[in-house]
Amino acid sequence: MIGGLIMTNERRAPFVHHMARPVSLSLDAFIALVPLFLFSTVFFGSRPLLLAFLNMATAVLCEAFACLLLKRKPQIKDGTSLITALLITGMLSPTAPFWLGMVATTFAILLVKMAFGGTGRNLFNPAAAGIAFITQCFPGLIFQYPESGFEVTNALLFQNVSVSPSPASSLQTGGTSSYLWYEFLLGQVPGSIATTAILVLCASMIFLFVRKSASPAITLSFLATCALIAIAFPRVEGTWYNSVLLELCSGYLIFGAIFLLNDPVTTPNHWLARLFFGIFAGILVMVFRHIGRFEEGLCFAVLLMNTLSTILDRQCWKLLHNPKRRKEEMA
Amino acid sequence: MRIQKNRGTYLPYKKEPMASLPLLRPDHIRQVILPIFSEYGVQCRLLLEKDSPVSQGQLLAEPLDEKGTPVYSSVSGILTDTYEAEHPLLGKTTYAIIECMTMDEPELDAPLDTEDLTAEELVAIAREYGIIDEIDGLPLANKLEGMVDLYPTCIVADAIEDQLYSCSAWATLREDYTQVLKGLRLAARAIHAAEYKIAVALTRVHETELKKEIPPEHLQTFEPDFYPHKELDDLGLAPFSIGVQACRALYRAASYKEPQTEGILTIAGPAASLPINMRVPFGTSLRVALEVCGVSDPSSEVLLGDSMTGLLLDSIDIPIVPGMTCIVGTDAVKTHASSPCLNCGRCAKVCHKHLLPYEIARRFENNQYSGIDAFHPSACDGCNACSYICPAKRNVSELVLEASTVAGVILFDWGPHHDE
Repeated sequence: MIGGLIMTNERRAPFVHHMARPVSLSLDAFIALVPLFLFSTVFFGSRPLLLAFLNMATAVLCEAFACLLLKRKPQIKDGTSLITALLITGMLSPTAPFWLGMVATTFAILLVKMAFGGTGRNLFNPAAAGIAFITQCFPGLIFQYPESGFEVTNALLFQNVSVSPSPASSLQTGGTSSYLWYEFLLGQVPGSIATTAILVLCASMIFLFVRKSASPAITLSFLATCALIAIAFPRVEGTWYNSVLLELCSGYLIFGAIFLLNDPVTTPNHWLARLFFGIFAGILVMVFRHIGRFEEGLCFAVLLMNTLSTILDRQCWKLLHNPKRRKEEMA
Repeated sequence: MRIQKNRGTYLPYKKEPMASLPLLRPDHIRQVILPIFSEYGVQCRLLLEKDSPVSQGQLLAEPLDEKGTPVYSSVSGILTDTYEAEHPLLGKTTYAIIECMTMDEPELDAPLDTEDLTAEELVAIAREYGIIDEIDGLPLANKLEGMVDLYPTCIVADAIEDQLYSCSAWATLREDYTQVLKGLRLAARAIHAAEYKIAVALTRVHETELKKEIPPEHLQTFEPDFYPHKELDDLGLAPFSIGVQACRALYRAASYKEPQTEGILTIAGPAASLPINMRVPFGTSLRVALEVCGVSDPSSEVLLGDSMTGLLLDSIDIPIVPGMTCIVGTDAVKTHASSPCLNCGRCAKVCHKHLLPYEIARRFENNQYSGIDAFHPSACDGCNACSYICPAKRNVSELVLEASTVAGVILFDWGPHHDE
């Protein structure tokens, strides 16, 4: 390895490669996720870390098992399954039973990632699919959030937790939310492990933008669409910015905009396609929130948009680099 | 003024210390092996018998037709033998072996006046003195004749070395910028072009050095460390670019009646303990030149050309011929296995042709040949920037180039195991 390059002696040019590896993409996401988990330990003790560790172990075991069945060398060290496990943990309630996350991770790795051929070949975002799976199967468990500030002193026992409605559920039921704007920013609202601390999420977002691991075209267009719909069709009484704040800061919205919508494998690459991807995903999320059965429909929106990403990519490229014109130029 | 760049990627700067060191001229060459060769697939007729003495710059072989390039001896010595062998650039060709006796710098007379030479005379000089453009290895006279028909307004000496190590054009310029500029002026006159420019992509230090010497109207600067530099294509100047060594050779042929018998090449890379630019007589064995630079480890691999688009050599017992400007010696490092495409889209971001390399590669691997055509793999010029940047270490450009050969073709071969 020579300063920023990898020299190879393959039999064909180029004989040098950029330093980036598949693991460096995962590493960026990992670095962005760590502060979120640390922040949640302030509120909930060591339980979030325990959940994360269990899910990561499950992910590694599942991938190893699938590779054993496929008679293939496991590629665990590219880190994508660990990121999937962390993302799933981030969207769980701090008091969720341990097996819930493990079920989601198993589903995500075995059926969504490895069944399609492993890293780089999956059609759907594994983390979103895992959460969508447990949302459908165990709706009573997934949206049970403890009161903010409730410290789980004993990480293994979580009985007698006072459950309080999250902002997303109060939006769905039509009640008014009693939380103030700074409580949202500091994460002092009931919610899942990594999705409540808006300020930390924004820092992670900027970090990923700078590292070019996340695309502002997706994230910002998604958030802008959600905000516009929140203004046009408010679900709470009061001023328009109250509605925007509640819609954006509740549920997985910002977390998903940063991590789920910027998965390199299942999202488009062309900037115009990314713009449309974000806008359509925003519309879908808001539709699911307005008419859906669950208080949060982001995972379903992400999964639906994943099916469109290749088509969007191709059509936007054709739109801008008109192949017919190019053919005439070449002829 | 620097021009806005096209799409591409940044490379680390590896041209030091070669770019700052003076030219080296090895003085212990015992033997040169000159290809008796005028153009690809066309041989020359040897004029001398075996065991006859030759002097430096003496006509050794003349072309069979009037458009061919003659061969001049690059050293003084004795012609001992001829034999046939393969060369990675020239194909199968005949070589003349000259045992070298002396290697003195030839004494130059006073320069002749070149102001009165007409365009036809200049092209004839380029042909008579066997000048070959080092950029593409084509005879300069044929290139100039081809340019005249296109009515160019500007001719460019292409000293943009956008790849990792090569800096032989910069070394040529630094050694004697006036000769290059005068030769370029002659070339401009040969094709009736009003303007002539030297295009460079240098660091600020070297650029200031060059700006002191060359008037700004004859200098076109580009961003260094960027790959690939395709601005000359965008400006429409790519068909009118010639090499700086060819410019220098044209000037010396016109003023001193000196044939082109020497070339400047960069020898660098991780395996070279003394990376340097050296001036060597044509026909010097590559092994000798590499030993001077300390590439003597038998496990090291040698690339002809630079590391982005070079060619891995099977043998280093080949003579140095015009057109070889960079040799890279690499250590035998373990090969990095490629992993499946992550769809990260970096290949599309660096493609200066605005292609979607990952999409073409995916379709090619899935045998969707009929749909490949819509993505124009044939527009790829093989700059290898996509393979360089790929985090999964896939050789994307190879797949794209292969896809361009099957574009629009529907194959009925279902793979090697279809009948088992």
